[in-house]
Amino acid sequence: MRREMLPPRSDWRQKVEALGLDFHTPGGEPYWWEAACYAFSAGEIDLIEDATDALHQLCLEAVDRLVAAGDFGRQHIPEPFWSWVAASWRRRDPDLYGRFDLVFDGSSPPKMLEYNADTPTALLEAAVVQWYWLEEVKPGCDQFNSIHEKLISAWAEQRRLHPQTSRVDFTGVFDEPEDLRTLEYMRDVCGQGGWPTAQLDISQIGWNGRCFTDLAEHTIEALFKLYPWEWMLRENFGEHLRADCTAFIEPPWKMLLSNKAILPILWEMFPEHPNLLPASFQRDGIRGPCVEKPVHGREGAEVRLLGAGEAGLGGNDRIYQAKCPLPVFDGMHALIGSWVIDGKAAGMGMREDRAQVTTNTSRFVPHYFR
Amino acid sequence: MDPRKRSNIVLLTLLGLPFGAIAVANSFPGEELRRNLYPDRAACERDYSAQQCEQRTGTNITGWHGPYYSANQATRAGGDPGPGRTGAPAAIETSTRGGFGNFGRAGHAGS
Repeated sequence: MRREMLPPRSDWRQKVEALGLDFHTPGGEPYWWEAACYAFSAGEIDLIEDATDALHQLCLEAVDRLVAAGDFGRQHIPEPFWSWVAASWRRRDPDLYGRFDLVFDGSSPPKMLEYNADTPTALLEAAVVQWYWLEEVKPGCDQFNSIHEKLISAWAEQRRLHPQTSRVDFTGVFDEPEDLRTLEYMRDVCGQGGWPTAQLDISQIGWNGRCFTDLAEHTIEALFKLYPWEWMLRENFGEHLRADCTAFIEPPWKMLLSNKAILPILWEMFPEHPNLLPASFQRDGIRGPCVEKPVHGREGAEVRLLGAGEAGLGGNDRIYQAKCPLPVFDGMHALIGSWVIDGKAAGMGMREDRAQVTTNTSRFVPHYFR
Repeated sequence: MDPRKRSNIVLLTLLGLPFGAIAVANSFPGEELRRNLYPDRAACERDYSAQQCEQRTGTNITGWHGPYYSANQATRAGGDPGPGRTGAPAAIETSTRGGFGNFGRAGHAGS
């Protein structure tokens, strides 16, 4: 694993914009960064792929045990929703995608930092934009990235299994450019999988006393939402979710994985697993330096690095994970975002930042391997 | 078998359009809508035209309904069908919007 510097394509802006990545330089700061790339060996990619598959299986096993035990309180899921979440798992409502954030230095086993199992983004960049970069800049090389094909296959399989469902609606916050583009991309691959589709802003969803409705007051049968479960549960329409009149993607059981409380729970269930880091609900459960994370934090927000012996903020809405520094290349901390599509490892995207904590402004950098 | 780990081809059908070409208005005023429910078609057509009456659909649901109309009489537009000629439905179904999205206006939904 290494970082290479190379000249960007002279017309890279037009090229990435033509693929929908028009948020490449938000606020004047680069987000898409092709003046560098990350190079891997095939063996290293196999390690990342195997770790991703193993971690996803651990997560499914954890959900099964949590549902069996009715243990949802530590994940801050309000009690009125527990049976609804459990029913979603018992039905095995299909999940579509997720992204593990991994630490990997090229030799040690990849370690899970967290699982973005509900509303992962940086999808268009990983699935499409870096694929076209590879075709032009590194022809003849390979890339760990069959995300696009696997998404189409997954949607096509759902079409086959649910022929009675007439349409999939897509929703999110449309005034966020990245979210809108992610939704448009997901709607694109859904359509290529054979589904009729439509989209509406999350605020436009209606409730008619029996079911959620679109702007024409038609029942929303299936809804892909780029909007976190923990927000939906707590908003005015949250109480109507339990009516179970809409199939959600991602399904309700995914909220058991898309919060940081799953980290100490996984460590309790699978201690010393080579792809996990020690994690605890208490600061003194972790020896030495650690990272304090809010249970429902997003994109690095409110993440605090604590030195050995340094106390955290405390409270039951924080967890503590042993510090595992990201590898540094040319002064940049490199993070692997490893995608799971339809239950299988499907590809990855690299993020880098001068700071130790990756946030929503950290650069996306393409990768290749041979 | 192809040992490659990348997609063979990546084609897009919707993307590349100017920002907002697909998007619709990003906020909705949260208007309350109503529609009248009737036990049968004849009762519905006493209030509305045949074209405006539809059979209700769904599990264990029977009866007919008229079109949606604004709950607020003062803000009803010209094309609003209103509450019907007799104003005597069996029941009224209410539809509201704006019940999701408040957190999203304050933070980023992706992760």
